[in-house]
Amino acid sequence: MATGDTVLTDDSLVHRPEGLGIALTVPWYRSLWLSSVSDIAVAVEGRAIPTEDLRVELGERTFRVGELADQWDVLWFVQDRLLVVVPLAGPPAEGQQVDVEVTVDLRLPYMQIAPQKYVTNHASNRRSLAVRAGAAR
Amino acid sequence: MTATAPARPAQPAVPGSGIALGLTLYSLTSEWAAGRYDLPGLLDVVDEAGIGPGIEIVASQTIRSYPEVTPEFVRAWREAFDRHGFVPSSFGCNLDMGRRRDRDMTPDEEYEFTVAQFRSAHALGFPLVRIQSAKPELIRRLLPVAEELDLTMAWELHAPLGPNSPKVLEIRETYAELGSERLGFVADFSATMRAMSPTILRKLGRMGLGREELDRLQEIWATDADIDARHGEFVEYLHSRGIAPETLGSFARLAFNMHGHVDPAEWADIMPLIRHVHAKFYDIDERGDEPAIDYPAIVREFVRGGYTGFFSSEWEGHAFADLDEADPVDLVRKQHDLIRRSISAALTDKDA
Repeated sequence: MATGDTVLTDDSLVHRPEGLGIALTVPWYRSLWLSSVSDIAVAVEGRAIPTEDLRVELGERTFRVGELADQWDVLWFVQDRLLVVVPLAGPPAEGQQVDVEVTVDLRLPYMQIAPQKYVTNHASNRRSLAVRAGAAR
Repeated sequence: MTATAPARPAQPAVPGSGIALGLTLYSLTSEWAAGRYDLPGLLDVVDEAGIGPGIEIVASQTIRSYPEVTPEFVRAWREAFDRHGFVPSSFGCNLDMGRRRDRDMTPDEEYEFTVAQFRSAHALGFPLVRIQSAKPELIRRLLPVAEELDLTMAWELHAPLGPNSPKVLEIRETYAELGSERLGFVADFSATMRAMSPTILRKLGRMGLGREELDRLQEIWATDADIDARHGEFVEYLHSRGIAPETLGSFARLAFNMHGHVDPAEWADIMPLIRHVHAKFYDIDERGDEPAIDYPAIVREFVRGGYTGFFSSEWEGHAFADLDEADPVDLVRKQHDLIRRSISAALTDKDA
């Protein structure tokens, strides 16, 4: 995967007591304000998770996907991971392989086409990955 | 405020030319984003490979506290930087006008956001800032700040535009009115490509475009219509083939924004205003050439025009290649060889 289409990496899946943590990379070459994230969609084992059930963690802060649009002063640094927490009735155990699909839509805030209209990026990865222990970095 | 480091001269790439080499750390975006290096580690790799001495950064990917820098960052940067004898070449600013969803930045916000980056550039010892907006009002307001901080402001001339595109002619007009030595251009070689890069075509092939669609894309690319018209025509074509443009990520549009096909001879028209160069490239073939960018022809213009400054190597193949599919350090080394060879040839021509 190249810089504009990488969302998942080998170590993306993290065990969480409430379900599953999915650590995302910025699918772009630079850091972006969280307001640049237009949408995040997740499917686990082929089943789409309702967006309102997802929580998004960046460092100590937690957001709903719908709240990201307002976070124009929170920078998602290009080396940091955005942790999407998916609630699941039976959280997968550490070491278990899980099939996840994550789609991230971006609006690139410095590439203006017309007033209030910007170049977008759409990045979607589907991978089967092993769940690892501990907190995501 | 940290004092600016004294400007150190960089050795010319080839004796008798004014061109010095280096790179933008953007060339190593994939490795950086993957967390493979911290800043000192990244600079060590550059030094070991001998692909300095000019170092350029894109602030929004290098600086965690972007658009500002913290005193700790400045200290760490200096420590990692100075031991190598590198020369700071260009600080890449961005103008995040669409940072808010409810409205675009106001002119005051654009000014403040840019000034914050100018101050960061100065604190890190950069002599030049790459800017992305050349609105006359903004430039006029920024000029005294550039004076105060001893910075050159260079608007990046990038594909799909060329030195004589209407928008660029307007900027040249603004520059002429203001008449300041501190204003100029970053020349990005994406503007003057001879073909679409095989690297992007390979990527689009992997994303699902067939031979016929790739041929059509290249035909549309080669026309002289503006980016919106070409993008529109391509999107319409994709729909007619049952392909959703978003399956190509950002490339349905960026294919036209990343590659331009202006004649390299046009660089001569603005040569005295070129303050910095993005020596853009995507690949180096087995003969040591860049398949889609005619380096000998472009370099000839810069040597003839008496350009003095950096060629900052900008490998953008990471937009299309997977991590570890290509080695950017090795590619930059090979590209530096190509630039040196092209300079030598141009110097010989000049004397002949």
